[in-house]
Amino acid sequence: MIPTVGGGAPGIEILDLTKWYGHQVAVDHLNLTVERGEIFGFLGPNGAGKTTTMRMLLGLVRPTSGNARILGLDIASDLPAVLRRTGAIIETPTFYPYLSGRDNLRAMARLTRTPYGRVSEMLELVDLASAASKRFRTYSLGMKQRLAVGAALLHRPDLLILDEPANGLDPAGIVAMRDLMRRLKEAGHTVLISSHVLHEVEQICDRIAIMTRGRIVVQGRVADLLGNDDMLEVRVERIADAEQILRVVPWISSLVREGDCLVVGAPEGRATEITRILAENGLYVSGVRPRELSLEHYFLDIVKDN
Amino acid sequence: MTALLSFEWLKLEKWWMPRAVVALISALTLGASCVLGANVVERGDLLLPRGWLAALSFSSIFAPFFWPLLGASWAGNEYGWGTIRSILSRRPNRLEHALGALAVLLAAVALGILAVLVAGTIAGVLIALVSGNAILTAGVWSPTFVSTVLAGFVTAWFVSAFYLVVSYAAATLTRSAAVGVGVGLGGTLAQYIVRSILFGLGGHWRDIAGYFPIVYANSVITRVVGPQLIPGTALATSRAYEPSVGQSIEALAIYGAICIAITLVAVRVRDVTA
Repeated sequence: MIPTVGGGAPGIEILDLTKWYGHQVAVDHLNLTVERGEIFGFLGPNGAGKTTTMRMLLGLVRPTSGNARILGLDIASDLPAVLRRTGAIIETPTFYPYLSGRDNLRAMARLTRTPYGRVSEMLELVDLASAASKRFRTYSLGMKQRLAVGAALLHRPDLLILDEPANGLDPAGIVAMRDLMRRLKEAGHTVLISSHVLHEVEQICDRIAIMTRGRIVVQGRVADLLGNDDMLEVRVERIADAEQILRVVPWISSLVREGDCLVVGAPEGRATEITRILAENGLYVSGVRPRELSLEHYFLDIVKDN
Repeated sequence: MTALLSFEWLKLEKWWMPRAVVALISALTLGASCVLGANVVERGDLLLPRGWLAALSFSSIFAPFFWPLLGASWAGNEYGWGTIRSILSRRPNRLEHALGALAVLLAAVALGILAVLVAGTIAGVLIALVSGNAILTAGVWSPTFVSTVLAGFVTAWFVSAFYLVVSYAAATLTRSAAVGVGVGLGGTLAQYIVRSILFGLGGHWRDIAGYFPIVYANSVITRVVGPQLIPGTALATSRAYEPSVGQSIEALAIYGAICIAITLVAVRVRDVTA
């Protein structure tokens, strides 16, 4: 059972956050707001600065300049209060290899003054009750990841910072993780999630930001980012003839052949006109639909451009 | 702080290494007591109740070879396993964490020395039975003897704690259990070698050799328990040039405080990138 969380200040406000390691900038004047109750995807290639940003939010790494507020609390001055309300997984799950899953959660419960009863609840939630007595070192990567999720939720945080939570999970584990994220969202939790499993991000995140070289290059609602490119996929026989006909239409901004269809640069409202033009030239369209960019394509385009 | 201590204790009681270290020191104390007890001249020091003082001496002698293993592993593994970020992303007070971990380790050292006393007791009984002596030597008990046992216990703890602190600091500073163990064990070995060389050179080199931490750590337990042992025996004999109890305690406290101070500064200011 995941308790409901109240509203208030934004979940996360990052204000001009910067981190230099020697002469190399890892995070460069980052500004970002994650609203309360949303699932926010934090994307970027390896080395983009995502993990460093998350570490700064958790007080593990000190910013060179800038600041951040979590649930309205300043991370520089109110870090203990911030962490009492935040659960996190940073990179790989880290636990004591000689302790069992249950003892690891008990240790974390002692650290956060959480009643032991919550340990069993979490083990059930992440489906590790039957393996709770096994030592952590014997766990598979998926089990370790699930234990990390249980540990992150143990002290009933309002906000979760999850760095690659799906790493090592099998397909069933990924589906379970997606389901858990949705339940967390329904209960009003705020989640900042970094992941390379873009298909999952696309399905569970309200908004995303893509970061490269320490800077955010694009951010917004997933639907807006993927749906604004005014492309139509046109399926037609004699595709070479169709391409020749459409190439001279002035309002078509681009024309690319992809496999057995043409990708036409035109808004959805022009679909009828395209069909008519082709029909007048004896070409009959078997299908027209707005092109739905996958987040994966979008991400790769953005990263390539930057 | 109690939450942190409770957390550290749970980890400690479930880990094999503290038990292994205590078992090894206890076994070596038992063995050394039995070997020394075979010698008629030395036997009197191994029979109870003097056997407790002998056990405390042995615990100090073996301390530099075992407690660094625990101190360095405890601190270094937090970085090696990455668990330091699990801790500090829940309880961000880094000084509290470093001191809490150290406090629990020092409590473990005290328990370890109690176990060594038990080993000394077993050895004393065995030696008495084998040699046909009384299990408790008559005429030894006195308020001075009891206070010497207590002072010996504190001294043995202090010396063991010193070695543990040095390796804990080294492992924390380098974020590595292996380096901590290396510094803890290798440092002691290096001191023995360099000290011998300087001592042999004489003059002011010999004076410098007198300030090495091992000089203070080695001599202090003999200075404390020696007066209650049988004069002339190996465990009772101090050399005139060795530092006094006060000098040794002060010196070890200063060296230990420097290690702790450097550790606290490092954990406070640096980023957790483990």
